[in-house]
Amino acid sequence: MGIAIIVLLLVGAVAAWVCKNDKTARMIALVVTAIDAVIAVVMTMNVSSGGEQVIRFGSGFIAQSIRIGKIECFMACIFGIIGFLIVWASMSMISHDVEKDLIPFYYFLVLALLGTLNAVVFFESLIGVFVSIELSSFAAAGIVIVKNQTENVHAGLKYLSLSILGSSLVLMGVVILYVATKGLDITTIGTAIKAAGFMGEKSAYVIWAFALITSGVAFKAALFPCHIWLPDAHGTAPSPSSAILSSLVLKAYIVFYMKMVFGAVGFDIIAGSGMRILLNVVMVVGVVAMICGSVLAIMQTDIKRMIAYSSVAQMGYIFMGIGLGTEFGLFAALFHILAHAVTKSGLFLVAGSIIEQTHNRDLNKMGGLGKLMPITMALFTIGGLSMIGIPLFVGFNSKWNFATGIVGSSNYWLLIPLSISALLNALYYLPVVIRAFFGKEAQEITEPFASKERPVKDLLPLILLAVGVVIFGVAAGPVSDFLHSGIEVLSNIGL
Amino acid sequence: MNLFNNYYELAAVILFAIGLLLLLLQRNLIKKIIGLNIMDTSVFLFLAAKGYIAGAMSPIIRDGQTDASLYINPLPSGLVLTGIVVAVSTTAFALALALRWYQQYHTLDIDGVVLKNVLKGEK
Repeated sequence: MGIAIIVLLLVGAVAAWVCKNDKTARMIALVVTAIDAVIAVVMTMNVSSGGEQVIRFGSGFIAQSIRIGKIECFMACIFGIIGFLIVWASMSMISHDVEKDLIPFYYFLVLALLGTLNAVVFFESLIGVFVSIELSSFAAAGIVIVKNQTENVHAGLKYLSLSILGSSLVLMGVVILYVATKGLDITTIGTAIKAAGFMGEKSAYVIWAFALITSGVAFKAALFPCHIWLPDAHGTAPSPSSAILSSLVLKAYIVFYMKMVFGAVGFDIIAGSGMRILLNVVMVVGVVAMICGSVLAIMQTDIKRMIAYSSVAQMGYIFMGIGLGTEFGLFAALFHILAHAVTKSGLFLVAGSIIEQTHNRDLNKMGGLGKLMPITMALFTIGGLSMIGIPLFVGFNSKWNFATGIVGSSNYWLLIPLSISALLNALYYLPVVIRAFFGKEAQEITEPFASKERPVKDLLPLILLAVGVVIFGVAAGPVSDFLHSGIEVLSNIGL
Repeated sequence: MNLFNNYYELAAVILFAIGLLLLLLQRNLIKKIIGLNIMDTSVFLFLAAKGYIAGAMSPIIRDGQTDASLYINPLPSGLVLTGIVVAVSTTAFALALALRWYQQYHTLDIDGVVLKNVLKGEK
């Protein structure tokens, strides 16, 4: 069924492009993503009762394999459901940003992007992963450039060149791994590494390979010093594109990295080898990203750039979780993927609604907005509170998991940056909320009350995302259990 | 010395570094794209070198000989082919963007003074 999702999305993409009619293209995109979400949920239910399976097809050089495990299904659900909600929200927003003639092409890019992201997660053979990574970078750069302004072409060029640099580094790492282990899929590599108790004398190859893969993924997933493309790309893209780029695209590469590190090498070997040093570097860089991303976000005046820098900080959390190198650290990182995807897509769509209705991107001119757009600003407040980590919202669970993981791996000093970062998050989300509801301009707005609210039917997907933030904040138990059993399966790859 | 025995790998790493520096430091878009290509090519060189076995034949069965040790490893060569296809499409995409850039601003400088003035003028 994993193949079914990928094929469905790619066929849908071509159909949306061929139809040449913007209304039909929208409907195709909506229906295809809805079917994708349903398939992903059904697949997850099958997997949670039946366990993982590996499907092989083709022979010789084109022999590929797809792994349908719990982590992969979890990601497919995120791509499916959040992708569907974003596409639904884009129905009413996209004509604001993209010319009418380009809309079929835009949905072609979006569906192709979702398809290739699923492929990055599902493919087990690294050739398939590499090709999917490259294709997804084209589509991702495409949905930035489609807005057709100068700044978009500039951001797109930057994004394209840095993400190709990233995938070249990943390819180089994969080649070195191939030389050391004679395997080109995660199972074979995992067997080779685990059987020999970390390869003996060839362990230096493996560490160098993982160092290259790490730096490649750092470019693709915007880990702090390599994040320079992210604020431009996410800040200038059409708002639905920003939501997709920040909540879905970054995550696919991180999950690939998790599968490589924790699937092919495994927790036991990490604890007692040179991989520990590499992961320590990842952890420290993640901490730096948490702090610096937030500090840079405080300095922004453009609402979308602020949210984009906040993504840089959140990527830091995820990499810190990976860097802990324990099962609980990995669990916290995976849960944060969900938390960030739900929250950040909502925030970007809210920012898009604000810009569309008021034609204003400047945070300092948003006083009194809470009176003009009460529902929209309420949704922004929910997203902001979740990002800060207030209980009842999903961000709190996520931070709690990180704290538990840190204590479990006895790196107690990490609790300090974790709490500082939460404080910094509050420093840039709360002023927007306070100014919107209690700002000076709020008193000046008198009757007749000119509401700038978008109709509720257009806001429905945003409301659903906010409901998701609360639901996963109150009842995260089933997801946690599912992820814990998924991590157990992942660490046994190749044994 | 080990370093000189592995001269393919050495060349690949040097080429990769050259490409990386071109990509990051050059302001001219075309030079950036050339850097990108050099970087990709270095990875292909590395791959092809890793698949080559001295004295072995290309992996096409000749005279009914099916002993695998007579042939070079076809898998890296196949990977190089895949990589070349990807690299070509990347270059085409980047060049198309560069063309758009040039048509609008009549410059290929991406971070330079010219651009900053242009962007300032627009706002």
